[in-house]
Amino acid sequence: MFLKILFSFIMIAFIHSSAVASEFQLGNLTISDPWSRATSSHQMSGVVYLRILNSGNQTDRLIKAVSIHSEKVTLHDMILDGDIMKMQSIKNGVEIPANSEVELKPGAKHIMLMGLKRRLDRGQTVSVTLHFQHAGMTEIKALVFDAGSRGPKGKNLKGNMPGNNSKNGHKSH
Amino acid sequence: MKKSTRIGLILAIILVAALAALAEWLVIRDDDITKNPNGLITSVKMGGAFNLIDHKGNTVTEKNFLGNYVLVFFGYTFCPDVCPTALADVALVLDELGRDSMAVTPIMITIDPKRDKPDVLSEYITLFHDRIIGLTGTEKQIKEVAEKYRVFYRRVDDQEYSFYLMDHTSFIYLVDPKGTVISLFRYGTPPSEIADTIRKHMKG
Repeated sequence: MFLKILFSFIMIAFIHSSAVASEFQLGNLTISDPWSRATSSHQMSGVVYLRILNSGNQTDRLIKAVSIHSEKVTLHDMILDGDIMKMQSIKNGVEIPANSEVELKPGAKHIMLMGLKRRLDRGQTVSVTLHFQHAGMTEIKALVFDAGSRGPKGKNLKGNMPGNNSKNGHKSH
Repeated sequence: MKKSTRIGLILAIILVAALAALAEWLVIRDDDITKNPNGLITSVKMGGAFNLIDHKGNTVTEKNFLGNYVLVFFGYTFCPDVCPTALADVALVLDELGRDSMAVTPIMITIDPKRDKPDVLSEYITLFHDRIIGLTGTEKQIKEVAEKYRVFYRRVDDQEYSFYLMDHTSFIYLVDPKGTVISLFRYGTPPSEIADTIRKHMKG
């Protein structure tokens, strides 16, 4: 009995850690903590944020992304022109300079899922294939957080973690 | 110069000047804004009467909100990056205010009424806080209220995809219980700062 319980605990831990792997290696690139935000069923767009560390000596570029979850994936930048917010397509890709890390985060560069095929729920993962100019391509899985989350390291929002119901009236689906 | 050419030239100059004046009137400029302990204030008169539809499908006017402080902001549900952050900030302001938050009504007015129908708004805003009210209306009604708050917004199409995005100004407005705009907050203002400002106004 005890062994059975222990075994199921180990299995749960294993499944959990494999489901939310937060680092993806591709050549000299390390993609960390990809995450997304929950959406409503009417919402036609979603977002993916992540960090990309380039430990090589050559600049690389994130030039394209595709996902089974949406019709189209675009690389966008939020730009403040005075007090006007503008979303701009990043035409030449996101530059990842040698020996540095670039973060795609709220209010800045982000991966936009356009034409979502279905609602994104907290706790699920979103598969996105990233194409780099030099390193090639890889599929990452982004964990879906609350709709207004600031991500895995977000300090401001209560009930930030997937599966953790906050008192904010965040609806569990 | 022929007389008709001269008249044409004068008319053209008047037209350009009128358009420039209109463009200036439509947006809040940095010069219009001063910072004081009660947040950003502006000499430009803003706010006033509106006629819109809430996320439950009811017709509402500015009168429905008199008697409470109101936090007004403009956005749209297709926006996956900035708007959720702004909505989460507003939810945090309410949390910070604790019991005082009952004297504050947060309102998101869509600048994308074509896509943001009441049911769309309803499901979206409840992802953030159950007290946020979503307002939409006809394109004309939205244009009117946006003008009153000096909100600039513009549809942006891209050849790359069939969806459109919106550029828009990103202030959060604090309206007092009499319906007067008393403070502005820029995008990114920490929720604790917004909550402090609201408390100061409440203490009068």
